[in-house]
Amino acid sequence: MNKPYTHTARLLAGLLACLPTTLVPPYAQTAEAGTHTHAMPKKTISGHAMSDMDDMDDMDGMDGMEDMGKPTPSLSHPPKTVQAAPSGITKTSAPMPHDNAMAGAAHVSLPPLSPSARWPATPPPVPRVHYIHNMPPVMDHNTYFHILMEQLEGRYAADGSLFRYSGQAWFGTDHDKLWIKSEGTVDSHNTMSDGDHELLYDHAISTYFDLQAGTRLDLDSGPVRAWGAVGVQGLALYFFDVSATAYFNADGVAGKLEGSYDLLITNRLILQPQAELNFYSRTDPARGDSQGFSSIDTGLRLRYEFKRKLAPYIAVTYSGNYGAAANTPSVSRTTAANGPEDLRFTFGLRTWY
Amino acid sequence: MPSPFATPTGGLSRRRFITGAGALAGLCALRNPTHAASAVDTPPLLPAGHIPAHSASTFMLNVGHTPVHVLGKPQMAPTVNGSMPAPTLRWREGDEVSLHVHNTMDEETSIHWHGLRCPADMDGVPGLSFGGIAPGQTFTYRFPLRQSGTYWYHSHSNMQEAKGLYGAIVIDPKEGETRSYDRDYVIVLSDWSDVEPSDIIKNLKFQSDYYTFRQRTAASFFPDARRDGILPVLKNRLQWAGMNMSATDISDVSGIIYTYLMNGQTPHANWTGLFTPGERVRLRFINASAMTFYDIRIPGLPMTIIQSDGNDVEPVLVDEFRIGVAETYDCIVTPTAPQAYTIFAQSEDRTGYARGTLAPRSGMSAAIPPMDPRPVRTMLDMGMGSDAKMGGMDMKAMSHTKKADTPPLNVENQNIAAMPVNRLADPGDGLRNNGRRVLTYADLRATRPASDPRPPSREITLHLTGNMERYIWGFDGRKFSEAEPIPLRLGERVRFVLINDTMMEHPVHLHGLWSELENGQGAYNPVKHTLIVQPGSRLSYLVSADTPGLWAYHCHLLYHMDLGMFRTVVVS
Repeated sequence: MNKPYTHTARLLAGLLACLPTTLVPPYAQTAEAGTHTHAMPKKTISGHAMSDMDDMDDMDGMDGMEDMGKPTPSLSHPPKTVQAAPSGITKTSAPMPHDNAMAGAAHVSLPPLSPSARWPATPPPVPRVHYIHNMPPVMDHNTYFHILMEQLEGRYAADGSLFRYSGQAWFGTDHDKLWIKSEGTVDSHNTMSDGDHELLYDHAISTYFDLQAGTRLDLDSGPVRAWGAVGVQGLALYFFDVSATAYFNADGVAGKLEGSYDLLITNRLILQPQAELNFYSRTDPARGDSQGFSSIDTGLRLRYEFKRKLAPYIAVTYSGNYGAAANTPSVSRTTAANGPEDLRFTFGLRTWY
Repeated sequence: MPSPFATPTGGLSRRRFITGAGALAGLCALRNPTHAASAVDTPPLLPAGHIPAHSASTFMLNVGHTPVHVLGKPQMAPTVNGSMPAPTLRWREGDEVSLHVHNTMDEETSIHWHGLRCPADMDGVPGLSFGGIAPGQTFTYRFPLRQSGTYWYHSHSNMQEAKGLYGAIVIDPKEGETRSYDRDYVIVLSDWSDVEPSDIIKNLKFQSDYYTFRQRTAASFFPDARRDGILPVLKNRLQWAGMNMSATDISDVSGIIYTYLMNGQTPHANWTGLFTPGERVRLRFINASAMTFYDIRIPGLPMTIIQSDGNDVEPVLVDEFRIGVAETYDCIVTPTAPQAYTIFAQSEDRTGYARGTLAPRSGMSAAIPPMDPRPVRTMLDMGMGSDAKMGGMDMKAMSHTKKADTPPLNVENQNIAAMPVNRLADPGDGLRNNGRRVLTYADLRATRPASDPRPPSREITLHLTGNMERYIWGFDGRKFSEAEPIPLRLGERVRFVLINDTMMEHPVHLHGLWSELENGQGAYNPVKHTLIVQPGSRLSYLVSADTPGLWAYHCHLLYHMDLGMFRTVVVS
């Protein structure tokens, strides 16, 4: 037990005994006199006045007060019941607010089970339940539709700007979804590159991860390629959004790794580093894909969530092409008219429904 | 001492009612006098919080969509007889009540009598008790009253409860009141939003922290680090991130969209209950919220808790108590000074509060205290036990939770409480060490012994589980639609053991049967209908399965219930 607190409590209890009795209801007095060492409210812990809900950001409150690093004082004795005379009013010797920690009643002794032939310890068989009008009492198996445009942005440079989008949508239940991913970059000549469109079946396989399988179509101003796709997508520990997908067709295999992390600067101002890496088993000069590590598209986006669903951002984006096809004059995977390495200042909008 | 039978209500003289009418005008505007031109009683039109002077046994309740003006602009809400909250019904133990519920809406409805021990077909859960009340139809509920106290009623259909379809029930004891008091008010707390419940569900599904704007951030790292040191703060944050959990996850839906109401009135509108100094005032608190726990206090006025969930408890004097969704607490206060007192009900996540006033005359108000700092979850809430205990404990001791009992970590379950502890004597997150006397479950002691003295014959252990990231809730890692019902033999007495593996409180409600909380009071264990299970904790309660039928059993956070934290209990 926390010694200083005990002292304070005793002191305050003494003070309490001196309070004019008119202030305390009659049976409360009995309880007080009988068993309590509680203090009357002495102070109000200052909090945050909440005049404007939009200003609720970043009020971390009592982070320190209840942090895990600090053992909460625990109560060493189980609660007893004390019979208080004479009105027959009882008051549990309730743990005081100063020390009523979690372990207070840790050892409540429970009456043991006493099964009999009439009331066995085994559960009865589970009956078949017929819900009236076949109407389940709750609808926990609904289908949802969700669309997220993570990138909807203009990438600016002196020699012309690019429009880039990258989004996902899904339709389905908690466990099974139809998942669509699409991304592409359009330059000022209306030439589209990096057109990657995927249609996947998605199945939840663990707490944070889904397995996805389906097809990918490279469809833009360049030649069309089709792939089969298998991958995983989810939330890695430490809140990293990640996905890893393998693609295959008659000409070879490819891989894509994506990751992003939301760093909360405030509750509405969020810095998101993001990267997408592409790998190919063979060079495809017509599409600007190189064997091995072929390209990266990455950005550092700073968004402000005016609404959760509507967040404009500024960003620095970089796309780079590497390997044998990096300098091919054809439409490259990531940048149309520009060189293999392209660092741009970017404005965009993140939005979802 | 007044006669136990003469239970006065908070009734005002007509003159006083008119003086107070200004404050009540907004609400009265929505109380269209109903045209229930039938022989049956229409519950009387009363100012909010007031209890009818007399009990009645036959009622006509019209459920319809009515514009209400909580937030200024009118908003359609499902109401009873045009009133939000629904009219307070006063009944008398021993009577048989008849409730003719007529549905004038274009969607199905239902009324569930929360905490009432009625036959299963009168319990009002569509699919389990009956087929619901179709548009234009009237359903008559009829059941005998074998209990007394404060209860409430609400819709069990289509999230109508989250939109305003709830009201208070006061049942007079057959033998007369055991407590003496001079005034009597109901205080219905609720969370009001103009966002559709279906949109709230979608938003939580797609981003579970959608309504949480008080997370720990880079900006808050520096003040935290200055106070606690860089390394401890960093370690703590990494520990939470390493579990994909957020220590600031207190309430899923916050004051960012909720306005917290007291008897249907905003904090600004300031619901007022009048008293004459020296009177003993009974306040019947009912938490009719969809998603919000409140911490209630009346600065300057200690409260003597006398009843919980309709059942009398030995008086406990407190400064503050937490009320979970669907719980009720009755208390008596004795304001002696001719001054106003603020009834302050801050939400557990401290993003807002419901507020009202007790005053000798209308129009008075007292200072509104600042809200407390918002709580932060700890490893205790993750079921890692208390740090104090962890000190001398090795990993072997931790594995005392039987393997067979633990739910799987799967798509629907994010955590297993490795060391669930008894938190009955813990007032709860955000209430420890606040310098006030705060009620705990360990304080509750029934005034009369349990009606069924038998020890339990068997034990049913259930884990409360969920995956915050996918926003799926359930028991034992399964949501309702994937799980079997829980069978009970008619007449058997069983122990339910609940282990909360999630890091949030869940108010667990069993329809139709009492839940006798095992808090060490033996035969005088408190009898409840809704029990808060604190995060990382384990508690048990006894149930006598004395009424046959299909009973709903669920978390009363409505969006947890609707997304799977629900089971059908079959007594046969």
